[in-house]
Order: sequence, then C-alpha cells, then structure tokens
Amino acid sequence: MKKKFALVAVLGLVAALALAMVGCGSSSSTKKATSATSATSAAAASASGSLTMQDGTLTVISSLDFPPFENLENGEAVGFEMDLIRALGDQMGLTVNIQNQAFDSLVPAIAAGSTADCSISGITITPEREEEVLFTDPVIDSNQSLVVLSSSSYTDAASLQGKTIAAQSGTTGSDWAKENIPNANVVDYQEATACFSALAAGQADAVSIDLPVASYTIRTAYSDCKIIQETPTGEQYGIAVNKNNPELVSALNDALAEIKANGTYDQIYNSWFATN
Amino acid sequence: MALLIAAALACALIALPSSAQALEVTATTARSNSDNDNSIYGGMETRVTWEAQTASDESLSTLTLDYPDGSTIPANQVKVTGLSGLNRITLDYTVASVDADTVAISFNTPTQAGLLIRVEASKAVLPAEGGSLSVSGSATLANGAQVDIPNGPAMNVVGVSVAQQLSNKLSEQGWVQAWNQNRLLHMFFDPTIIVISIPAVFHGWLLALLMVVCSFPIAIVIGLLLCFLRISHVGILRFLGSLYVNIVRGTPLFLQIYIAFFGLPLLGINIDNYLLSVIVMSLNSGAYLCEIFRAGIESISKGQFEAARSLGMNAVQTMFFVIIPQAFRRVIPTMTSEFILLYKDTSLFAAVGVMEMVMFARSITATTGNMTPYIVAALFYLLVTLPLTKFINIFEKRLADPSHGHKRGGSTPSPARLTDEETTLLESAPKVDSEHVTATSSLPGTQA
Repeated sequence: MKKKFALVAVLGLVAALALAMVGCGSSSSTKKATSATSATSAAAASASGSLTMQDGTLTVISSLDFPPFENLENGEAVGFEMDLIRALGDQMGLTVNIQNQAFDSLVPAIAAGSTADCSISGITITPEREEEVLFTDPVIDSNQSLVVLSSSSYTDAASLQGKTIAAQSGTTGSDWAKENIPNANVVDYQEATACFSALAAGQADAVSIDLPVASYTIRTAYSDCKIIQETPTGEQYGIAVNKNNPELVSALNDALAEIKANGTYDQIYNSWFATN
Repeated sequence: MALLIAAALACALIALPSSAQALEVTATTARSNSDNDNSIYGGMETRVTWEAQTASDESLSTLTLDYPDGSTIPANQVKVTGLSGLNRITLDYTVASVDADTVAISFNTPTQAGLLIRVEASKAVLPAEGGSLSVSGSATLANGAQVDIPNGPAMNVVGVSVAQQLSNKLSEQGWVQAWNQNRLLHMFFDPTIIVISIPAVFHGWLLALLMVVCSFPIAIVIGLLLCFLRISHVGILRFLGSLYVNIVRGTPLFLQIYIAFFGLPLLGINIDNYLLSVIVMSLNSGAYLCEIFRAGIESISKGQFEAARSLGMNAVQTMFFVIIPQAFRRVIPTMTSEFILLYKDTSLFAAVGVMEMVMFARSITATTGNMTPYIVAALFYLLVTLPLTKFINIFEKRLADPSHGHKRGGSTPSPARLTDEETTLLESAPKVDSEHVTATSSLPGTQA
C-alpha cells in the first residue's frame, strides 16, 4: 500500500512539475512573469489590452458576511465597500461583478490569479499579505473590539484570560485575540456571522472582531450583546490585486483619488457611518 | 485592565525618582508564529508590537527601542502608527538600525502630545533560546529632554521548534528558493510549509481518527437498532424507523452539525465539542448503516429463514445465528465505504470550530495565504482511505470468487458454505430472486 501511496505522490509532483515547465516556457517567451498561472493570466490580459480578465468587467471576490462593509441582503451585495467598488468601477468605466467567497480564501485566490481581478472585503493591509498580493491605497481605517453577551460579567481583555474567543478565520481580529488575551482559546469560524451565533449559543465567551462590524451587528441583530473593549489598532483596509497586475492597482488608486476629490467617497461613507 | 494598571504602577514607581516624565508602555506583544497554539517561538519570524501612551504634554521627536538581546529587527520593516482615541494619526518618521536588536525612530515633525504610539516590527526574530522578554528604550521629547522608557510587560517566548528549525534551514537552500520561484509549486508544494504543516496536521489527523473510531461502533449499534425497527412487523416501529432514516439521510450533515452545535446550547444542553461531534457522527452514520444492514439482511434468501425455522429456531435466534452472520459478511465492503465517508466527513466539523485536520491546515493557510497545508492534509486523508479502499477491493473479490471462498469455507461447517452458495446464486441468476439481488447490487449506492 505504501508503494502505491508513494507512486501517487510522485505522479502528482511530476504532473505539477510538467505544468511548471510549460509555464516557464511560455513566460520566458512573453518575458513577463515566472509562474504558470500568472503567465497565462498576464498573457490573457496583455492580449486583450485590458486591465481585467474579462473585457469591461471588474470581477470582485468578497466575503459577504461583514456588515456594514459587505453583506448579502435579498441576494444583493450591499455595504460600504460594495458601494465603493461600484463607484470605482463607474469611475473606471467597468461593470462590477461581485462574487461571494470565504474570507480566508480571498488572499490565496487573488495570489493564484485567474478567478478574480481583485478582492475588497475588509482586508487589512499587513506585511504578511503584502508578500502574496498587491494592495491599493487604504480605503478606510478600522479598529478592533471585543464583544460579549450583555448578561456576562467580562469587562476587558484581561478578564477573558483562558476563555474561548470566537473569531473569523484569517482575520486580524483572530490574530489580535491570540496575541493579546492571555492563554485564550481562539476558535476560528469561517464566517463572521457564525462567530456571533457561537457567542449567542454559549460556545464562546467573546467575539474578537473589527469594531465597525461589531457595532453594526449589535445594532441590527444581536441586541443582547455588548462591546466591552474598543481597541485602537489603526489598521487599514485595502483592495487586494494579483502581483502581476500593478496596472490595475494604479488604475484603482487613481479612481479612488478621484472619488475622494469629487465627494462621492464622502457621500458613500456618510451613508454607512454617519454619526448621529 | 489589571495588566495595564500593573504596568502603569510599575511605570509610576520607576518614573517617580527621576525628574523626567516617561511614556507609559501599555503593551509588548508578539504575534504567535506557532501552528498549534498561541505560543511565540524564538528563532523565527514574528511581528513584535510595542505600544506606549504619551502624556498630554509629551511630544516625541525621537524614539529608540532596544529589543531583547539576540533579536534581529529589520529597520525597513518597522511601522509606527499614532492613535488618538480610535482615530489613526499618520506619522512622518524615518527608522534606522543602531544594531541588530536596536532601532532608532526619528519623527520628522514631533508627534502630537497625548498619542498612543504603536511600533510594529515585522519579520522580527526573537532570540532562539526564548524566555520572558521585554523591550526597553529611550526617547527625546520635543523640548529636548531625554527620558528612559521603563520595560513594559514581558512576552513569553518559547525556544524554537524542531519543525521550524528545519523549515528555516530549508528556506535558505538554493533549490527551495528556485522551487518557490514558480508560483504554482510555491502555492501548493512549498517545502518550507510542508515541514511545518506535518506536525500540526498530524495532530489533527489523530484527532479525526479518534473521532471516527469512537463514533463508528456506536453508529453500528444505532444502525442495527434502526434496521430492526425498519424490518419490524409492527407498523408504528417501521414508521418511526423510516422517519428517522429518511430525515437524517435527506438533510446535509453540515446542517445537522450546525443545529447540534448552535441549537442545543440554546436549549441549555452543553456538551463538550469533541463528544458532541462523536454523537452527531454516530447518529448520522447510524441512519446510513441501517440501510446498509437492511439491504444485507434482505439479500439473504427466504430459504435461509425457512431452513432455520424448520430446525426449531425462533425468529430472534434465526436473526442472530443465521441471518446476521451471513448478512454482516456481505456488507463489510459497504460498511468500509461508509467508514471512509464518515472519516472524510470529520472535515465538516471545522466549520463549527472543532480542531480536526482541516482546521489545523486552515489555520496555517490563513496566516501564510498558502495552500500547501491542504495538500498535506489530503495526503493524511489518503493514508487512511487508500488502504481501506484496497481492503474493500480484496474483500469484494473474495466474495465474488466462489472457488476462493470454497477453499476457506471447506473446512468450516455450514454457515460459511451457505454464504458461498448464496454468492454463487447471486452471481449467476438474477432471475432467481430479482428483488434480493437488486438489494445487494444497490449496496454501494446506499450511502451515495
């Protein structure tokens, strides 16, 4: 059995290598990129002379469970970042096509290329992610928070020592809890909404999540929860783009600068975060 | 908060004797670079975050931070952020290295007073030997005064793990770097990530195996009980049996998991996550096994029942001594497939936070943005499923090949012989007992 197992593994590697060879061959001829996937997507992009994979369409992937930034309402993607990316699309003359995908797979998908042009999904710009993808200029600042049930007696991070903390997989909220709550048992859920379900069900003692999402979710759905700690982190969200497409990054940056200048950005911002 | 107060007290105590006012260090933390828990390993890259609150009359023009001896802090990876309450203040600064573990930050315009200053050093490597480490430093205020910054809270750093050392060594190798140049190979087969994934995923593999090994025997018992309900002569029992089986088989396991994990606690029922996984898996698999057993029992020809009854056995004796032993042998391959399916289904529990194989792999993928851990997990799944598949094939061949069966069956008396004859019968003549043959041949489909 071991023999067969080894054989399968070897075959897999050989197939991968073969693919890689093909990739290298074509990339050296186009003198553009080094890898198989990026070579094909770069070639496709340059052949059509367009910034995006599909002419005239900006394909965006996003994890639509992060209100007020992105959320699904009656099958429609809504939220600050959704309005923003549509405004950017308008500015660039592109139709925006938004697809829903799990948060922790967004950066890998953009890094691999070929499924989407960019991802806007409350993605904090971090050095680790910058190694895999390119980021546009920051689109908004954010902070972290800790949410507990209103009936509980927790007061801050220190009081949650050794407790179970729900967080969304791959987020800065998950990292923050692991780094700052002593001996915390941080449980990663695939969706932000599952974190709140877990809290309500008593599976977790607290949720560690971006502050705007916490406030919004408590206001709209989980009125029996409260924020016990607002942690200033000053993290910034950016739009992630494949490393072989710096042209799209500069186009998005230009469009962002323009909608900031002409007031569209403020209008969108106020419609989601108006202080009253 | 206790920490903060302690830190504040410590600061106050140290600051009191000296005349100059000092910053209050509120946090010194490092991002966990472990794949199993939240520990911080020395000797490998992490991100060290240092935070200090400046007083309402303190404005910084330089800040020098001395990280623990033996650390490596690349100056170009140091990021400084100012925070006023929850508002981010962009600072204008330059960072220079004094030595390997000391960086000097100079603010081109002095920081506004009363800011929370956060210094994040990425790609920082803390000393490999670990220990309780803290960051010290000094600052120049805008008015020219020099202040020493007392040590903030310490970080507990663990000595480097074997897998990490290996991974670090690998990443320095020329062939590894060349290999990773190719994005496809880097994305799915990065050797440095394979090395760190194996211990974490192996841990998950054992847990997943334990979950399925615990739940399968329970599922067999549940399956048998359900099966008796379904073939019972009492209408209401038959109805209950088929109601359960149809509901469980007719809804996705994923939903059942969600209901059990998020629904039960709302009813005040709190069960340990692993135990609850085992219960859900047993209840789910029991329904599938019930159908497998039923098909197996129904594939035994009526003649067997009649012969047993004519020997004076009652219904229960017939079932346990004649029918079930034969049926069980027939359903072993299908049961093994069900075992494989159940084993693979453990991955679904990752969605509700049960630490099994996919969960361990995912946590590495989440931090590295690399798919390699999933490939490692896939290989670990195959480690169990391939031998079992082989076993099914061998067993099925033996069932199908009467001459092979005869050799073994020859020495043992009737039950085995009868089975062999049954097999031959099934093989050769679908017309003899078409209903029962259908039941047997549909076996592999029962768990589809």
